[in-house]
Order: sequence, then C-alpha cells, then structure tokens
Amino acid sequence: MPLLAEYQRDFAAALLAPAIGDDPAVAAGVRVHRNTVMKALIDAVLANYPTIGVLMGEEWLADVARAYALQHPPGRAALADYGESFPDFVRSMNLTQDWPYLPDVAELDRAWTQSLLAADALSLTPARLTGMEPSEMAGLRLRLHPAARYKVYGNSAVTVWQANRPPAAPPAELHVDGRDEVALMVRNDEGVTLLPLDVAGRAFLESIISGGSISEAAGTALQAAPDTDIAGCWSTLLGQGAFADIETQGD
Amino acid sequence: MTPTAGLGFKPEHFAEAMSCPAAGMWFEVHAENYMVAGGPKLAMLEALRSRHPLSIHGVGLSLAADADPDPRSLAALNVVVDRFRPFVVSEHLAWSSWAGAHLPDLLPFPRNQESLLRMVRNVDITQQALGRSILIENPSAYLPLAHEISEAEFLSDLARRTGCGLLVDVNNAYVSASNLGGDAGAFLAALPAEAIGEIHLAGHSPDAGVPDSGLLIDTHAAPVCDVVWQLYSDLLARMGPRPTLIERDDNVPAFDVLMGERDHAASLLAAVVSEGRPHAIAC
Repeated sequence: MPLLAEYQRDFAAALLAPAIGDDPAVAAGVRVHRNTVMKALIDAVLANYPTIGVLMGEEWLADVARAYALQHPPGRAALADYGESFPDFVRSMNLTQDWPYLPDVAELDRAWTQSLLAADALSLTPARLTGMEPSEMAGLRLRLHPAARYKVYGNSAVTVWQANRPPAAPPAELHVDGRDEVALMVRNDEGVTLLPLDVAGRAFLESIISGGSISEAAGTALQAAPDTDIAGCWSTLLGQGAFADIETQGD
Repeated sequence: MTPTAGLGFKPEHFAEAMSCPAAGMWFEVHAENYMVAGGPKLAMLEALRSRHPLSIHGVGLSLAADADPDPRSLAALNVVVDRFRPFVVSEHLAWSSWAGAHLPDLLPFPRNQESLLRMVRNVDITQQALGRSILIENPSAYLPLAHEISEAEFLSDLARRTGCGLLVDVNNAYVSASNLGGDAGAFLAALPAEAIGEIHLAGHSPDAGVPDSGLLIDTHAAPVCDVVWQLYSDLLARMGPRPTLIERDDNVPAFDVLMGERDHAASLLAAVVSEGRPHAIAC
C-alpha cells in the first residue's frame, strides 16, 4: 500500500475513533480536525431536522446526530441533503413509548429538504388550461411536480410537525389521537409548503398519482366524500403548483 | 469590471449583496453548497451572478487523497461552473474523502515526492475535466508531520507542473506558522508571485476545546487581525494587486460590517495600483 494511502486510512480511522495517540501535539491537532468534521456533520443534521430539534432540544439532537454521523458518514462532499437515513436511525432508537411520532416527524423534515432541493420544472398553471375543451381537460393524466412529495405518516405526525416546524411557535400543549395523516409538500414561489388534504383530497391525489385522469380522480374523490368541494380542492392543488406542466410530461 | 475585493456570500445578506454598488465587488461561494438539483438556492445564486462576478471555491474534491478525484464530484463541479461562469475556480492542498466516506474538513498529509506526484495527477485530472485551470489554496495546519518538502516549495512545484495557480490564504499562513512554529512572512515571500491568482483574508480564534493547547483555529468567526493585514500589505507590495476575499462563516455580522473589512482591502489594493504595480491576474 502506498505510504500516502496508508496515512489517509489511519488518519480517517483516528478521526472517527475515540482513542487518540500518545504524542500530545499530534493528539491536539487530530482533535481539532475531529471537532471540525463532527461540527460540520452535526450542523448539517441540525439544519435538516429542525423540528426534531424543537421537540427534543438542540442538545439532544446534536448528541444523536453525533452518533449518527459516526455510523453514517456522508458519501459525498455536498451536505445540503445530508442525513437521508436519519429518520430510520431515529426509528431504530425505539422511543415509541414517549415520542411515538418522532420518526414520522423526521420523515416530514426529510421530505421538506427533498422538496426544497428537487429539480426545477414548470408547474401546471390555471392559465395553461384556459381554453381547453372540458372533455380534453377531464381526460388529462397529470404527474406531480418534481418538488412535490406525497406520503401517509403515522402517529399524528403531520399535526405535530405543522405545530412545531420552525418558524412556527411551538404550542404549550398539543392533543393528538395518533391516527394516520397525509401530507403533500409542494414548492412554489412561497417556498416549501405543506398542504393539508381531507379524505376527498387524499382520494383525488392518490388516483392522480396512480395514473387516473382528472375525471376519474374526481369520481374517486366524490365516492370517498360525496359532499366534498372537489372544484375547490382542484383549484388549491393547481394554484400551489402541485402538478408538473403537461408539456413536460413524457406520455 | 476587474474584480478587486469581495466577500464570501451569505444568503442572509442577499438583498444587500444584490444592490451593493462598490466598484470591483465580487462574491465567492462554496461549490458544494450548490450541488443540488434545483430550487431557491440555485435561483438566488443565479440572481447574484446577474449582478456581480462570482468565484467558485471547492472544499470537497479531496485532491490530496491517494485516489483519483471522484468522477461524480467532478461532474457536479462542472455543472456548477458551467451554470455560474465564475471568473475563478479554486480548491485546496488537502484531502477529505477516504474509502467512500467524506470527512468535511481540509485534512493534512505528509508532503513528499509521492504526495506531490499524486497531487499533480489530481490537479491535472480536475483541470482537464473542467477545461480550465484552477487555483490551489494553502490550508491551516494543526499537527506536526514528517514533511520532506516545505509547503511553499510544494505549492510552487505543483503550480509549475500543472499550470494551476495559487490561492494564498494569508490567515491560514499565519495560523499554520503560529501552530507549528514557522514564519508566515517567509512562507508568503517564497511563493511564486506570477502564480498567485487570489488572496483570502479571514479571522481565527484560540482553541476553545483545550485552551492550553496553544493552537489557533481557522474559525472564520472573527475580523481579520492586524498581523494578517500587515502580511497582506507586504504581499501586495511585492506582487501587486490580486482579487481578495474577506471570509466570514461564523458570528456573521451585518453586511455593512463585512463591507468595512472589504473596503479596507480594496483601499490597500488601490494603493498598490496607484504605485504602479502591474495588475496581474494569473487565471
């Protein structure tokens, strides 16, 4: 093995291991580098999981982030999306007794980061549909915008996340019933926003995602909740930029 | 407009940066912060680029590692450089990735013939991939190593063999000399003036972890100190003006405060120009 490679293997190991050599000058220098590495990784986790920091305290999150970073150092230098597997790491801590919603809240923070950094693409706008024959529009099959993230979360995590994600002022008390909730994260000129979806909105969107046309999705939504204002739901999704422009779609 | 003195870009200063009227103003960003697919970060930098020249400063290519630069990292850097058309691209005399793990710091290595050849190869690969020359920066040093080649000689050889330029960080030179017992002025004086394409100025802090370690840390958390300003003036007097950056990454003050330091650098640059020093930019 070349000497340079040998040095780097040993140095990398020294940075990630608790023990430092005997020479105090070397030990001091290695400690400086270790502190810099760990601070960068912990800061990246703190930045990407702010709601966990609010719920558990920044000190708790920094400790957990340190343990995470030692087990899961990044594979690349770009750290804007570091911590991909952090929600799984939190889930593996088994804190279900006191904080059952925590892993799901971490997944919501993760979805927010993914939405923020996702590829740019034109959104489908109401103007784009102006003048289209109603039958043509009803038959459109849409795709979510690349920055949109839709998922079902357990343990009332969406309610907990919305109440605590900075810059929201965390409530003194929050009563949750632990049910499953859905969240659609969208990115538009206002930044990343979570759109709450009721039963009909959820049925509508899930139908679209699974390839249904607009009219099929509307039918599914009305079946799920006959009194629903499906036009209002459609208009909100469209206005928030949830869908990719039809010209950019492959099929 | 020729870039004179600039600032490391802080997103919280976006509005002031956009409207900053200073002559020769420019901004530097870390390449890795913009290696994302899309979104408001890129849009913000695009807007800034429409108003000011940009420098792209890489911190993660790990050029001194005993491995070729990661093709994915090079491709990602190429995307950033193509999109933002910087007047200069720079990286470090350091490594940060090993065996697939990235350790976000500028890590040291023993300087000898083996590491020089490796660094030459990696700078060549990078310059070929980007289709342009880059500058290589001297990092801060914290631990004693068995070096066979001095840092100035290593950088000079690297520049001569690869055609790369040098980014001279005056604060790093000061911190390294203070930590390892060297002479920062002698180091700066030994660098080839014609290769130097950019200068970094920043502040440092005493080691907060173990105060009696006596180490200075390159924190970028304080104003540029008087000794570093003096070393900078001496360097300018020797070689003439170069684009100069004020770096601040922690305890970031108001934009106006940073502009105060930036304007001081600009006035020192203007002084050497008026003394008739040639205005040479290596890249």
